[in-house]
Parts: sequence; C-alpha cells; structure tokens
Amino acid sequence: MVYQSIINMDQLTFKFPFSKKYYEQDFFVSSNNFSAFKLIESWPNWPGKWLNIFGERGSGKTHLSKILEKKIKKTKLIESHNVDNKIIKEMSEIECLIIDSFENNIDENLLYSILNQSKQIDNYLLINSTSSINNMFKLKDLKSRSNSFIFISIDLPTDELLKVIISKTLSDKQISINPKLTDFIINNVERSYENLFKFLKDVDELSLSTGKSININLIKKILNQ
Amino acid sequence: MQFSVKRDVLLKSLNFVQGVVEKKNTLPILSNVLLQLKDKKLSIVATDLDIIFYDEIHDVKIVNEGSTTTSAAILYDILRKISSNSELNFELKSENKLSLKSDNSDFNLLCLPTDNFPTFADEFEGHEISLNNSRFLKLLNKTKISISNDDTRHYLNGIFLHLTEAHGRQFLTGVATDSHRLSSSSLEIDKNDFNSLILPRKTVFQLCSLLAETSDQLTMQSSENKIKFTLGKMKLISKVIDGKFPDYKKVVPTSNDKILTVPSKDFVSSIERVASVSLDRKEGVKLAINKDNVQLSVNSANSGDGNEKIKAEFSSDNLNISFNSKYLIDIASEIEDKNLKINLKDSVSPVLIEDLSDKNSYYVIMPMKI
Repeated sequence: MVYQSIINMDQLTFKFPFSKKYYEQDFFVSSNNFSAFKLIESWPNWPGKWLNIFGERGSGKTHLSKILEKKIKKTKLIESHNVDNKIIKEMSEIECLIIDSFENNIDENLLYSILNQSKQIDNYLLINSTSSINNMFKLKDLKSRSNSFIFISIDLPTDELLKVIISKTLSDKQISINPKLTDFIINNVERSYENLFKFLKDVDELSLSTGKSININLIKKILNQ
Repeated sequence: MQFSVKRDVLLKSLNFVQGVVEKKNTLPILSNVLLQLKDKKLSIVATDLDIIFYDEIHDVKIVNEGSTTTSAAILYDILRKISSNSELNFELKSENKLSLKSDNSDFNLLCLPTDNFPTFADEFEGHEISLNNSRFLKLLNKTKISISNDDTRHYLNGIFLHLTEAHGRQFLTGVATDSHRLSSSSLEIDKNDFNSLILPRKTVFQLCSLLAETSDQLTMQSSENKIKFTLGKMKLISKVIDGKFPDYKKVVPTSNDKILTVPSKDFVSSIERVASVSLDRKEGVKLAINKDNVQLSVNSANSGDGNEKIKAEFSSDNLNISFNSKYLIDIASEIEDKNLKINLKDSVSPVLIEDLSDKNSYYVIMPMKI
C-alpha cells in the first residue's frame, strides 16, 4: 500500500525535544548499505580522497557521517546549506570535511574552490546527497573535478533493515511497541525510507494527539488515510 | 500458626493490600497476601513484583508463630462483611488450610506455602528524606491528573520527581504530562541529595491512598532503580520507570502576557454544564474571551449546543481558544485560589495556568484546533 497523507487532528500537543542518536553499534549493516559502511569503516584506507554517498532521505547517510566524524580527530561535519566561504580557511585545520544533505545548494564556484583546496592540502571529503553528484553540475571545471569522486549508493532497504529502522526510530522517542506491529507495518507500507519515516511520524503524532497507545487500530487508521 | 486480631485493624491493612495485588495473575502466589507472625507482631506483605507493600500489626495476640499466604481479595471481602470490632481468630490447620473464626462465622481458606512468595532486598543507598505528609499528598494529587495512560510511552506513565532550586531554597518537584497538559508542583525540603526518577502511576495512586489515611511521618529513600516510602509501620517499595523524562521546561511558556482571571468554581461549573451536550466529550469547549467576560460554548453535531457566559477579567483584546473540557475541569479542580489565572499567548500556543494561593504549582495545557 502506498501511504499518502496525514489525518486531521484536533488536540494540539507539546513538542518535546528528542535527539536522534547516532551510535556506531546502532548502525545496522545490510546488503543495501554494506559497501558504504565498509568504506566508512576502512577510513583512511579509501581508494581516493573524495567520496560521495548517495541514497534516499533516511537511508543512513547522516548516521554514517556521524560514525566517520567520531573516527577522525580533526573533522568538520556541516549541513550543505550552512556552507560558505569561511569553510575554505577552516579546511587547512581539519583532516576531513563532511558535507551532509547536499542538494546542489552550494554555489558551484564555492564548491569548486572547496575541491581545489581539498586537493591542495590533500585532505578527505565526504559529500552526502540523495542522488549522485556526478553530472549534477553546470560549471565545466567542477564537472570534471567531480569525476574524481568515489560514488557509493545506498539502495532500497531490506526487511531486516526496515525492522531495525522502525525499532530505532521509535526507541529514539522512547516508544515501545509489540514486535508483531513491526511486521504488520513492513508488510503494509511502501518500501522506501522516506515513506516509512513519514508513516512513523504520523503514527506517533496521531497517538500523541488522541492520547492512545500505538496499536493495530491506530496503525490501520493511518494506513487507510 | 495461631493468632487473634481485631477485625478493623487487619481490614485497614488489607485495604491497602488491595491496591497492590493484581486481580488477574499468572502466578497464583501473587494474588495472595503474606501473613507472618514473628517477634510479637503480625507482618503483612503484598506485591505485584513492581510494588511491595509491608505493614506491621503489633496489637495481636499470638498463640503460635508461623507464616502462610492466602488470597488477598477473599480475605478482604470476608473481613469487610464481618461486623466491626469483632475479634478474628486465625489458625493454620495444615500447610494449605487457614481457619478463620469470628462470632458465628467459620471459614477455611486455601493457602499457599510462603516458600514461593517473592523476597526482596531492602537496601537503599540514597539519603533518607523526611517529607511533610499532607504537602506531599498535595503534590501527588496536583500532578497525577496529567499522567499519561499511553503504555507505549512508558516514560510518561508516572510523576517525574526531581530537585529544583529557587531563591537559594531547595524543592522536591513533581511533574507529569501526557503531551496534552502538564502539571508541576513543588514542596520545599531541607538541602538533600536525590537522584531524579519517574514514580509509576500505580505507586502514585497507592501512595495517595496511604497518605490520605494516615498522618504518620513520611520518609523517602531511593536507590538506582527503586524507591522506598515509610509511613509509620508501613513501607511501600516500588520500582521506578526506566526512561528519560522529557525536557519539560521547554514547553512551559514564559512570555504569555494575555492574562485572563476567572472565578475557579464558576468556571468549573460552567464548563461542566455546557459540556453536557457532548456525550463522548470529544468536542472541545470554545472560549470566546472578552475584556470582562468569557463566553463558553460546546457544539456537538449529534446532540446540539450549549452556551454560557461568565464574568472575567482579560488584559488583552478578544481571543478565541478551544480546550478539551476534561483537562480544564481537572486543572481548575486542583486550584486552591478562588480565581484562576490563565496566561495566554494566542489560540494555538501552550497556556499557563497559575494558582495564586499556591505559588509552587502550575499547569500547562495545549489548546485544541478551533
């Protein structure tokens, strides 16, 4: 079933802050993300200095970046939309620059300068994006530079991975559900990271708004929207 | 084992036991109450494996020491029906038969040996904190209204007890929330160490019954995953909830500057009346707030509508806002002052409700969509 949209809710709820946890032991290695995980784990023994990991939102790219961030002493992890000229200067003090959530939202000249700086000081660069950055650019020189990246994709999730994602997403929010419900969700929600996260968010919100526990009826309510 | 005891004394203790013992148990021994005669006293113990209740009765005539366990519910039911002040005579006839005689009554109750009754370590590393009995009861009563019933979010199924400081004084603060509303109440205590914990709902309700019935000195002592309350001869030991309470201060409004002042009793009565048109209480009560009055209305597609106007003071321009009527009633019923001070921002942001007669308690409630 393709899950579409959210239900109408009347009772507004408190928005308590919950932090996502990115422990290495929590990263579930499955056939779809094996290559990406192996490469992150094997740092600094990469075949090249520049890596582009691409995959759907929620496929674990940020989690892998956090794992890499912990491995390297001098590193900087930055959201793509926060990248500006200052980064060029900062790069000389770090071993690896990690740019997360890249959606071709960095000025191409700036990105070209970043790549040049990285090449000059010989440090590592990881760019996470939803699709491959190869052939993404208009600037000729940048296009040519981007060919030097190692490209690794994270594919659609396996059943086992979906189970882990459900369990981790809920446990980050201190929610515990019956394991049978996990199987039911996997069998009924479209196999995509984004869809699953949206589904879990809606289940959580409906449960909070109605004050009811997450059970089969509540899940069916969301599925039937 | 043979002893006699006054019916009223034992009944009082068994009344508390009822709040602990689960009615449906997979382990039969957990439906039973442990009666132990030793050292010139009768010890009474009940547990559901999460909470343990101990009591001691010294006003007992012991013929032979010994111990047994028997159904807590049946023994309680019999004692309830025996006339007040009767003398109860117990005798353990065999390993599985307890005789109870009183006046003209003669019962033989089935028993289970005490060997399988769970035992618990009674070791606590934390400091013993003395608490004012009635103030702590007030704290529990004011906060328990907001405990969540959602068992998939166990961390909200209790009261978060922790230390807070204000003006160089230390407080024991209780906070509960179900994500729709939040209650906080504090009581001043002597400087102490106390590791914050979440007290489970069942323990909260059991404590409330105990505190309401006795004026004995209350002490509290905790360790990593359990807490002990001592009230005279009674002890209640409970596991605490294994979870992290949310950062509740983030949702407490600090800049709501539109102040509504309404008489507490009138407000509650008015809500109760207009909410009568909503049988399932699903429709919210809408408040149309003006400078000098509040118009309350409930509109139900199935049963009609109810409207009422009460006098009030509002420091801002007109504002419309909607709430779950039960939440407003629950909170307003806990307010000690004759007026409710409601601090608003707009129709969708958290609303702070203060009690002018109890500066140590406050409530936060989320509106409903209009």
